[in-house]
Amino acid sequence: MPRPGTISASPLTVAAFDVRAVREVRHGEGRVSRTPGDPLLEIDLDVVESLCSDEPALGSLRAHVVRPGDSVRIANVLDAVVPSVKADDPAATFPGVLGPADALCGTGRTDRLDGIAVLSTLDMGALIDPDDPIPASYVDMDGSGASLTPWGSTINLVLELVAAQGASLADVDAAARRTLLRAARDLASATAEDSDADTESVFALGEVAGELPVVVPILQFTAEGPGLTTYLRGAPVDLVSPCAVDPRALLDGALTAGAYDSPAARVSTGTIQRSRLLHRLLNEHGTALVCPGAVLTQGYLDDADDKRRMADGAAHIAAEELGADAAICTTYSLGNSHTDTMLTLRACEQLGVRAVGIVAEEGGLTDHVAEADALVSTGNVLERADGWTPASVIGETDHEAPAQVPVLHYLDAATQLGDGRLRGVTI
Amino acid sequence: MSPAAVRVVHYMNQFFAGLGAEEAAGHEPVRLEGPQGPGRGLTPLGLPVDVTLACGDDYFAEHEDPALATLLAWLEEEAPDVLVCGPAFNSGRYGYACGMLAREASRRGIPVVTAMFPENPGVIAAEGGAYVVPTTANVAGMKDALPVLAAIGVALAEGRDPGSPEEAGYLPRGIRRNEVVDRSGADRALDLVLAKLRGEAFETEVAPAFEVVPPASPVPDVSEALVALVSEAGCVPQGNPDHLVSRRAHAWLAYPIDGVASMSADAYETVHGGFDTTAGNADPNRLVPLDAVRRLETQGRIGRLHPTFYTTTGVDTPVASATRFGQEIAAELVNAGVQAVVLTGT
Amino acid sequence: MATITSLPTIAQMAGASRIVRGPAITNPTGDPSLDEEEEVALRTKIVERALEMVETDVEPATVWEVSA
Repeated sequence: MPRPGTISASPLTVAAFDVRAVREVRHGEGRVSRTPGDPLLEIDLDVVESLCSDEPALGSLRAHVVRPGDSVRIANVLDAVVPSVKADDPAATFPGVLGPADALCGTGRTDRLDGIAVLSTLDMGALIDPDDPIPASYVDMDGSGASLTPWGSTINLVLELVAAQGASLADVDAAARRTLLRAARDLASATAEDSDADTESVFALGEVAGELPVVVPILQFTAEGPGLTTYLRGAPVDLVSPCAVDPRALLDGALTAGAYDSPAARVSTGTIQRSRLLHRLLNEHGTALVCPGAVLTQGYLDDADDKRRMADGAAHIAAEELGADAAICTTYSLGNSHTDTMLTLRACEQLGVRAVGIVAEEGGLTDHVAEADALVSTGNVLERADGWTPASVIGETDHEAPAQVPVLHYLDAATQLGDGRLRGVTI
Repeated sequence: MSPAAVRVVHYMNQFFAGLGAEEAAGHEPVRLEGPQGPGRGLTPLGLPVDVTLACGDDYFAEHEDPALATLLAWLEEEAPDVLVCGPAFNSGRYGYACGMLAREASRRGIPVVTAMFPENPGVIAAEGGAYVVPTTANVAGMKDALPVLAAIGVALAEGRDPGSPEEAGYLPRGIRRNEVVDRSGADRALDLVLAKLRGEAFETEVAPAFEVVPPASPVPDVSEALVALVSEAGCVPQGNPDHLVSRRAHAWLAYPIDGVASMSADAYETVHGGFDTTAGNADPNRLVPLDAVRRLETQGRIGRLHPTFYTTTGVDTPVASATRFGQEIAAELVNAGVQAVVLTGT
Repeated sequence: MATITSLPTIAQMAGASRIVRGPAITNPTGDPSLDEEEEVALRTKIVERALEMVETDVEPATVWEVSA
């Protein structure tokens, strides 16, 4: 397997095709289809529902299509994925989960659909810990909650999953992730015959001459077991020490989500694929700055020494291996991961790397150090959306949400990769 | 709108409502006609009280959900233009009840004004849902508090903005609301880091509300001191007889440890929901270091271990609750003559 | 009062002045990787540090380590 830190000279070309309408059919021609140049996608729901037929850990899959403005709440949302396929080798898509773990990722051509996402729902609560349920996870297609989550603005193919009786958390979770990513890959494959993308972006990370500032993103993820883990090429991001990676691989499906805690403050697969932070750094590489790579680091470490070592290690790689002048430190979810962010900010500044942190608030900051003098707030997750009652709910039979739902429960609403536009202000 | 047209409800505790003192602290909520106790002082200040709601401080603390449900149902029936709570001065349980009721009432659209000592945990409990008038720690400040309370209450009841904290005499509400801005967090982060790098002026979007607590004077010789153990690690006797919750604790508990040499795994367990409890359950001394403290007691390194240990669960605990627990436990420790505390945090 | 915790920055933010850093969130006063005798010895050392801090004049938000 290529070392994660290897930056290939080959470019990554992302060809994006707009989808503005979906026609769902059953007993159709058995595929997803899209006429070249037409932003209408036809989806055969029977085919989608057959995606879990060889997954014994899943009891059933019902497919739904919902659109922005529908009076629908999607509950128990696990993840959202942007339909994406490696055009030259579709079997290589989402390495380590679908494709081989060492498949090329971050280079070559990737086809993607814009305007549509695939979501999975599954009631994980009883499997993770019956005495300590995970927070409710919503995507609303209307009401004020719809504007809090990015997925309220996409047409969504929703995979409503049910675990098989007696299946373990690990098996159910792996099956759910595979099924979701399969659906996302298959949807994007509808563009196979279309050579005219609506937008085409080329990302190359060549050497840059001149005195541009070196800016490195230090991206924090987590690995606390099934249901609480992010995956890099299909393996938990359970790091002995932080590592440098090609940021293009992260946009291209190398990083997939499998953590179902705090919906607003975690990072869905789709958010990583669309990451505004990584896109901006890659787009401005060579003109306003140099982005030689990204650093992956791990939050929620239990041991105090491990927390310090990971923070110091991340800062060291940014400074020594990548030559960073500046770093942007992201956070994963809520709680003591914020301590990891603060320790990383401190470690960067102590090495002369100017650092900014991105954090969500729970009424205020969870943790702080003196060196954290430049923080971006992705919003206060305790604030509540206005009351709204959906006409129907997908993914939950006995739905009982509070009249005013806290921001906390909306997927990616305050994601600390920084893609949202919420910010906390003192009044 | 003439003052006579506004509808005012006043919340207070059992003592100020004349239901009794400490012995009535377990009193269930009651609804009374007209002003009671300090509420009578609001009428000449332009804020005549129509209905008084009262509840025992202990009852509220120990039965928060049913107490709030009852009080909020009455508030919905009464439909006041303003709710006044307190003054609670530095009574932690009273202030906490005022703060919680204020928060919930304001979420239901009822403007609230309350008054209490600035360090009362009720200030945090209100989560910015009330205008909080700062008072003295004890009831001596009543005559100064009432006019400020009344003036803000009248403004709120009449639908007017009371004015700035400085003008109207209330604590800055410090609420963190959300605004939607043009640029994503990622864009703002990149701009911020480039500004920092270039040595340009920059501003953080969020800063801590630091608690500045001056350190207590040192205990000159701990070998003469009474030392107590306190923990938020969720340690309880096996079987959790008093049902300490694993998250969002509403209470702290106290257990006797006279003659107990160690937090043994068969006698104790942890119910904390915020970390993997395998190691802690295999040996609860890893969370509450009783065996080590007993060793040091035998060696004469400490004078004596206080025969009670105090425990709660510190995850998802609202800051207001944790503040109240700390104040209450501290009060018990001071009363018992404890001079030093070892607190374990997870 | 002295606080033993593996997250001293949070204790500082909450206003604690005497803070001893413990090994881990799951075991602030222990270490399951040690044998029983070593672990009790470590725990005793941690508590002793806490008691030393109680006997010492400190600036706000002071953190002490426990040496190996």
